[in-house]
Amino acid sequence: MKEERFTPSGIPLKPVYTSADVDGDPCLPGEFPYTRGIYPNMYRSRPWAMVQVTGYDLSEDTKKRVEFYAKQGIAHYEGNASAHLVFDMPTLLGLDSDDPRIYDEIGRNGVHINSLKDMEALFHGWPLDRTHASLISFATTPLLLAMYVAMAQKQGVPLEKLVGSVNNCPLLGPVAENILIFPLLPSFRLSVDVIKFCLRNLPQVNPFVLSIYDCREKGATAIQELGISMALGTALIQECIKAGLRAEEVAPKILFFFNVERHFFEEIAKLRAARRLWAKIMKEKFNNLDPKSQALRLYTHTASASLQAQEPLNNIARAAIQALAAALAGVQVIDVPAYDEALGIPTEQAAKIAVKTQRILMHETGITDVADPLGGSYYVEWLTDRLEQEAMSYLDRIEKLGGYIAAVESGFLPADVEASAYKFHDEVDRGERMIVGVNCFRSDERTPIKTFQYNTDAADIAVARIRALKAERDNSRVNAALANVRAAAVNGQELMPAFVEAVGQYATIGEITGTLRGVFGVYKK
Amino acid sequence: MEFIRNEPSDKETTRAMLRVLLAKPGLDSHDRGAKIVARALREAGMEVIYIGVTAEPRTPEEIVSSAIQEDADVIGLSMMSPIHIRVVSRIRQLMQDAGARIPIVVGGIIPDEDVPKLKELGVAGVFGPGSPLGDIVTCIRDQCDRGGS
Repeated sequence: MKEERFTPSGIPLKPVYTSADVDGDPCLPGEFPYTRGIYPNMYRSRPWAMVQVTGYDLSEDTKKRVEFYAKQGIAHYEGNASAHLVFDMPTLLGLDSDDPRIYDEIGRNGVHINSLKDMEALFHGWPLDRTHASLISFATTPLLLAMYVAMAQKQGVPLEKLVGSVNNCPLLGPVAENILIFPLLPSFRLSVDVIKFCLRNLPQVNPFVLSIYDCREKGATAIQELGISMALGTALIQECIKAGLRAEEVAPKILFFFNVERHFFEEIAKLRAARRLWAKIMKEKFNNLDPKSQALRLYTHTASASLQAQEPLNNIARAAIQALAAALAGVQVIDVPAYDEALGIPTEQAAKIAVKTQRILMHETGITDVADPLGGSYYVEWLTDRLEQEAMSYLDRIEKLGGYIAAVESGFLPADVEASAYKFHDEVDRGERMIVGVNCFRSDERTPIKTFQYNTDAADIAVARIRALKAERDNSRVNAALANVRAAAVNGQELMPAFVEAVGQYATIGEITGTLRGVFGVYKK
Repeated sequence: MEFIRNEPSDKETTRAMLRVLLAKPGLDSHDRGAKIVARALREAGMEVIYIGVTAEPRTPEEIVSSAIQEDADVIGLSMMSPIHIRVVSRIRQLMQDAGARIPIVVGGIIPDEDVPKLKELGVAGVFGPGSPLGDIVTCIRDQCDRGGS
């Protein structure tokens, strides 16, 4: 066959690979540079955690779905209950329920949390010391974490017993989902503040999840996903060091949240290369020889953007294949979206199939028996090497522009990712890239599927709640707490203690964010 | 308000180009589709004024006043959150109040059952996920040929 073949990120492929294409034997799993995985026996000793992200409408609605997942047997490590939560846009951007401009967006695509009251309702009745809570929030992470902490304090749960993670990564906003409120420098300051607070008070909470996933969803290639994540990881560690922390303290607490897209082998090679790149960055850039810092923990979610609205049941196959790639790459967490997510929030029926997909993968295929089953494959090892090299040169390009922040502010990274997104779409339009059921092999008949229906009363209830709250709380205490937030922000002090105090007085997410907007300003493209 | 626009090189030819105001109403941050459409329209020779995602809600009032101020031939709206019916109704109302008649084209995640409702509200075209870019370009050109401006 004469035609040339390329991976989606443009790497040319030969028809066959041999021992001549790879250098020597790969390392062992559990050894530097961790290409083959971070544990010697991988899934035999620690299978991946199955996660189902959820969030919609009000606290009580989302709570029901989390409990539904628990009934399906979704649990985190050590049998802890698992609540992986996504939030609506008002929560993510720090706008209050009674702001008339956001009425239609309350509880859409995420749970609506406006004050500590909503957080308390969401976690009501669950033992916090036996719950793995993952708050997948961006710029308002510090406030949501502060609510979680204030709630534990009110219940008398010692903070060192809290388990979970906070996303805490609005920093990719300009190249990803745009969920950034403040300019980049204060955003870094807030992220570092959360890390500091967690290191000191919440030893079992991962304080930063580098969410390059969103950048890939925006249209980045695998090479960009690797290069940009490594650049941001480097910038973050540098900012932490400037704030008086050590790389050895911070790095072991960080998770990288990667996408797992369509091209099976490029995705597997990408995840293997990510581990190797990070281990080398730790060693070479930061002289950090601590194995816990070098061993990159990977959280993955299969590609939501690859799910198609046309013939949605086909998405079950897509997600299963992507989850298989994640497992073959030895990741620590897998989240599989439901087949109807191109149409809206998943129905319970669709969500159940997503859970069962992971169960089939883990329990029927024998995939957990042997570590890094693809290790030594000429093709996979060659492609891992090649992606590492390509990502290194992309990272060098970013570093030459002055590092992550400069490469965002100059407009290079946003424009470069946008160009990749356009190229992909153009290739689909021209039929060069095939999407079954969309631009080829279309079925004529349309099977209607039942889609999720929102709680139509959610917005009115939320507005009534915030009005009642503002009437019943001690507003002089709220104002004093907000003044403390403002003072801490202006004087460059740590902000988390002031946030915990303010949310404890039932200051709303909009009031605190508004105070910070007044000091930091907002991000301008 | 920040605009990203492609300035035509020759000011004299400005009105020879179709001018599209492309907006993401509300707060939704999923702007991959909108940006791809913006680029496709530009490559098809149109002038695109894109008012995208910010940390503040993008209101119908703002969209209508921008469209009138910029003398847009067509308004393109991209929405993933289920806010489309209310947003389009409000934009129509505001245009009526201002005596403006600018065709509206909608893209994004729109449930099948809402497509006729949007058409009833006068929306000229509804483009769901996977719509070929060429179809969107054609639809916008058709609106203008019909004497939209």
